Amino acid sequence: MKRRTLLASAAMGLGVALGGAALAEGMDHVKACFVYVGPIGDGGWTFQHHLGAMAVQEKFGDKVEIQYQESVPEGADSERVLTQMALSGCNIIFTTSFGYMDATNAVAAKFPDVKFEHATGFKRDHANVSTYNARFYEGRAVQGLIAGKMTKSNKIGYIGSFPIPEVIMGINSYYLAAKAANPDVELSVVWAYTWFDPAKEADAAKAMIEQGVDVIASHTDSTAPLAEAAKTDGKVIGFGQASDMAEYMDGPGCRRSSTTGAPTTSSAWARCWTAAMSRSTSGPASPAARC
Amino acid sequence: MLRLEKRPNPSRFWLYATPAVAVALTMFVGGLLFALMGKNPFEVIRTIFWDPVFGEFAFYLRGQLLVKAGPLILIAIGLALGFRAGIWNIGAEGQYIMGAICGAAVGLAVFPTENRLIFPVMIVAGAFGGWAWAMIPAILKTRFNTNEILVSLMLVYVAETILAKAATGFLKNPEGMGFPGSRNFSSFPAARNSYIVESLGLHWGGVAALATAVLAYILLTRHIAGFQIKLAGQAPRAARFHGVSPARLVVMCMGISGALAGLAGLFEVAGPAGQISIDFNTGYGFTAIIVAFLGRLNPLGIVLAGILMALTYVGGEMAATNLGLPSAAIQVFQGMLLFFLLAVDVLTNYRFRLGAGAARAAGVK
Repeated sequence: MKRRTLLASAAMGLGVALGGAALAEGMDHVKACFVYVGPIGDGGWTFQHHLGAMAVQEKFGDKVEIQYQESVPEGADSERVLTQMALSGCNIIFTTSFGYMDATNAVAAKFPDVKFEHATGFKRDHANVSTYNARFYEGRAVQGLIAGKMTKSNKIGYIGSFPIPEVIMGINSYYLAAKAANPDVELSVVWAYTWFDPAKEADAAKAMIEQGVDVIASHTDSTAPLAEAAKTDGKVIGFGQASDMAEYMDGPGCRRSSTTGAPTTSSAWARCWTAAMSRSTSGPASPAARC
Repeated sequence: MLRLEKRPNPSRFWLYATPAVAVALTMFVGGLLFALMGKNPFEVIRTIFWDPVFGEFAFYLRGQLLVKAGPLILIAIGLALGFRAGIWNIGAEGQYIMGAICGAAVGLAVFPTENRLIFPVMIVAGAFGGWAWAMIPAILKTRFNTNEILVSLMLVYVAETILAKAATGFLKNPEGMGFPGSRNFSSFPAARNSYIVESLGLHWGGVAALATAVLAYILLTRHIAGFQIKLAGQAPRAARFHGVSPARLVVMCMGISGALAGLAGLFEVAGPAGQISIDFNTGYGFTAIIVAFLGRLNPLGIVLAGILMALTYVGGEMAATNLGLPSAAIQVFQGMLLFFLLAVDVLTNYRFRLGAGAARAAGVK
């Protein structure tokens, strides 16, 4: 019994890649720290991560202490933020964006007793670093299918953040599914080179709408592309990203897309996250969540 | 009624008191803001200004101050020379990026050769990249009389696009499994900008920043070029009578500030950042504008201002993590500093007068 509670507190967050109970040996109090790439109010990726963190807090109460920092630039600054967190006694640190990969590994080398969980990367240079991810491409395929069926102009669009495999994988999945549903479909991709910049994301959406694109998906974290789609009086529809963004599409376009179940990816991601969380928190015995 | 009246001569007292008063006002109003957000204002201010230097983790954070301040100081000194002459280079961010790309490209081209000359050549290439990028607005201004503010600013966005191209294309790490970003200089000793004194956070960029501050101070106080810069800023007509060519001054000031921004970029990419990545630039070029004004466009003042600015970054991060402040509140706090600086700065050239006296004084004129 004791071992199980220990395991539970160690495995908070994602059950996926935690190195077992080692961390939890003799720990009744865990300090979990989150490094966010955007503000917690982005309505997308960071928002959802933060909901996850809050869910952990709620579940474990004073056994867990949560700390976080928003809008940490990917690069040299993140290394300092990570070091500060490790110094100030964080037991486990979640680095929630691809660009933190090198910094995560550099800091992990200096703090072998701190666990690091890095989202979507590929480098695990030290035993205390692990990587977590979800099968986002499955949701993207559902979006692609809907996009292929719903488009009238046969032009669909995708706002990409950075050309990293994580994003390209989603684009490919979206395109293949759309093409299968509608062989005439054409996909245009715009790179925003940011995770969160509502103005840039809105510009990208505008440019695509002007080119005749009538279904927009995005892999950036703000709700701005949906707001642009909502301005078109139902001619253009869009998909949410990372969170359920239906409420941000205050127009006919969104109602249409939500009745067709468009924002499933976002809610699936939410479910997946919560499921992974509950799976890890309630111990390995609970039924595996379908993500 | 209060009225603003122009002083016959700029007040020397307010020239030096302005930064101190602005910092004090920022602390006070910032404290109010934090209090309204339900935090203990004294604790927040202490975390931002005191803890990084004297707190529990000062042994690490003190070094980080110079790491953060180095590029700010280096860029701000270059900008200040131009600002003094009335030449407004707003695009240091772009010159910083181009310096980093050029310098890194030289280093990466000879990977993995080990030779002592590689790093010095990279430094020259970095300065050249920034200089060349600054020459575009400079020559457009002298030849076609374009506005250097707009051209240099717009070139930042062009540089960002080239940076993205470099990280995903011509400088991409061939062993990076398809991920964007160049090779990391941390595994390339000959090209690495390593720490000279790690506990102080002193790398070659910091040395360059401090040396540049001294050189710029000598230039401004002892050298004819410094005199011409100041003269052109304060009395352009007199400068022309003195034989100062405005075109040459533009090319010189833009060139120096571009080269220094390029140097800052090179030291950052080969040191703390370690690699060319899509979002390599984090706004040093823009923040340096605040630092230049906070330091009164004086090279030695800029050193202090750069360290103060770094303090608000490092301490602000501490406050955000440990006290749960939103990052937006920290940004507002940093923005307040410039706001109060500009507001208090009015007192250098103007003074407040009560209604009647002011009217009389205006009538006399």
